[in-house]
Amino acid sequence: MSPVVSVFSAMLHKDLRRELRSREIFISSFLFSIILLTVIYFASTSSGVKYELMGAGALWLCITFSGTIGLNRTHQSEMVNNCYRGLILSPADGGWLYLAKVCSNWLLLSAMEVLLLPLIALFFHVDLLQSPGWLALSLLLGTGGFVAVGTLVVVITANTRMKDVLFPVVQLPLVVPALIAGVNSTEVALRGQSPWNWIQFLLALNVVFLSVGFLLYEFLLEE
Amino acid sequence: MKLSIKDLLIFTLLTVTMELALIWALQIAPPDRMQGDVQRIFYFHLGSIWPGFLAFFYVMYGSARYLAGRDLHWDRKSLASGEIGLVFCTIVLTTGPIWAKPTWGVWWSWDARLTSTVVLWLIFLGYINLRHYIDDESKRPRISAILGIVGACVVPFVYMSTRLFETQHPKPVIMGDEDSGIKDPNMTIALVLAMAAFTLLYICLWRIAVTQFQARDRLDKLKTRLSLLEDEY
Repeated sequence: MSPVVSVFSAMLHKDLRRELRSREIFISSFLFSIILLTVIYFASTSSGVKYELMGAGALWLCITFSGTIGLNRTHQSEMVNNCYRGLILSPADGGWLYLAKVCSNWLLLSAMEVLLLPLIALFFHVDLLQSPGWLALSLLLGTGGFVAVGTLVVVITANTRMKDVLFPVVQLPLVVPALIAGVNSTEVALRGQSPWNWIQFLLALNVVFLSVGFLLYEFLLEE
Repeated sequence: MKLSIKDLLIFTLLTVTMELALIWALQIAPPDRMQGDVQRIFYFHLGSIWPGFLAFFYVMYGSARYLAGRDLHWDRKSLASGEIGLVFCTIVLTTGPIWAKPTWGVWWSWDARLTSTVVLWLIFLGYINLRHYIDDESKRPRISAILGIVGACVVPFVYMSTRLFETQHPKPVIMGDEDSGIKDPNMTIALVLAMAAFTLLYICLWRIAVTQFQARDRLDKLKTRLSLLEDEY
């Protein structure tokens, strides 16, 4: 196995194993999402909006907020016991470390979405089986765009004084294109139609941000 | 501040072009058949977004040059460009609603072009402010450069938003479809003059800002040397 592949898989295994053992990010993000869904339901019904139409928006709000909390927490755990120095000293190029981090965050957030979907169907009376393929692709690519930017920005803001506050402030404007495309694509898929235009846009976003992250992550690992 | 001949030449050219742009846009160009005189704001609206995009692309270029060579001048040049780009973006976000109110009947609409321009504005506001929160001076330019490059990647999406999505915002005038664009030659001259004037304004402001940053760096160095000398004696 080449050093790049072994470092990539070691990073991915490490992140996933840590989360599977502690489950601290996953459980807190999931509980937070349930609270959010409740708030969205009451906010929409009290303002006269049909809550059946809020399914895609509610799902993406949960992904945004719990994803932001999760990304921040994942990076903070690297700072404990100077683990981050270990990352810097690893023999692989920074870009591969970035891709491993993106993959682990992507998998964790996707797992949470799998658990959230039945709740969305239950609370917002949405039929998930209208076009499941498009729905899965919308969520996969939307989450990819969100995670590709977030994984890079969390390290950028980690170097600042007010990292917990600055992370969402800097990250959210950058992920707005992915969020708009994700919400619209999911909404179209839930209606049983093809969101091909939005999927193309999401694909372009993923390619751009993953490439930029791959090229720039190396510079963030300097001390 | 001592002005070079190049600065004086650019400033003179800017003054002449700006005057001509004002005359052409407000006097010579005919009013739009549908919108009337309110359309004239378009010359300044489009004129200011073009150097805004240029400024953000320069941030990307300057940041890449900084990361490649670690020359602080490129960091200062990128920062100056980012700040001026943000000012032009603010002009666009101000002139847009002034045009929208009489035309659409509302100050603001959440369509793709308007939303993406606000997002771009927020990204570069973050880029300018981020460095104030980085205490370690050696990290400041590097971290800012990375954010500058990532932020500039959103510019093509803002530009393409009117082509990619159904928007309320008018279709592109430059490099647009056959049915979009302006047909009157005087309108074209007014637009070209406004774009040239705002580009020259960008160049002029950028040169002043870079000179100021360099002067501040020299002052900081002198202050450090002075404090070292004071400690010695």
